[in-house]
Amino acid sequence: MVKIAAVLGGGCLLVVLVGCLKQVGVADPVLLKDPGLGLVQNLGKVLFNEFLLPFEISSLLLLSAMVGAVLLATKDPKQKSV
Amino acid sequence: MESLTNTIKSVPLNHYILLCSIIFSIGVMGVLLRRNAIIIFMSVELMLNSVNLLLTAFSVYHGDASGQVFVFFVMALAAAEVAVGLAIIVMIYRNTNSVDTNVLNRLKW
Repeated sequence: MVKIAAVLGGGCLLVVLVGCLKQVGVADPVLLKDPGLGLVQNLGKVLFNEFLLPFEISSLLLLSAMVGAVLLATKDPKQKSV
Repeated sequence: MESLTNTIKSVPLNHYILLCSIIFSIGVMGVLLRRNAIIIFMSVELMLNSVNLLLTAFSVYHGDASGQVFVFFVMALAAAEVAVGLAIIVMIYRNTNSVDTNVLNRLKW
């Protein structure tokens, strides 16, 4: 029963998304106008100039995730005796 | 090789959006359908990666590098989420000896 509902829900999402996309019509092909767009050099320049603060904040996020993972996954000393 | 690159260049934006919608729906269905916590995490990753694909496609379409930088941040967020999630799964497995989410319907032991 739950599986039928899940397939129905996911299928409804897919149908709605595809139906919305039908309205758009055929778009232009995805062309790489600027050949240096995906290069590591240019991407690094964008990352370390415009997005420097989010980059540093993401380091905090990763650090807190690491600390949280270690805290959750280490065994309790109380349970070790069992 | 030359014909392959020419074929890739003629793919319209709609097809990228369609592919990403399909992958995202597969992820949603996997989250709703499966009861194994690890497979639910894999489905969440599938959803995040479909959004990554869409971000890069739009980034190339508009010629703006910001979308690809957002993909970096989404990847970092996914890594953090998986680290904490796997730690929670390990804790659940120690307490209930299974990773089945049906066991967790009371959220206490």
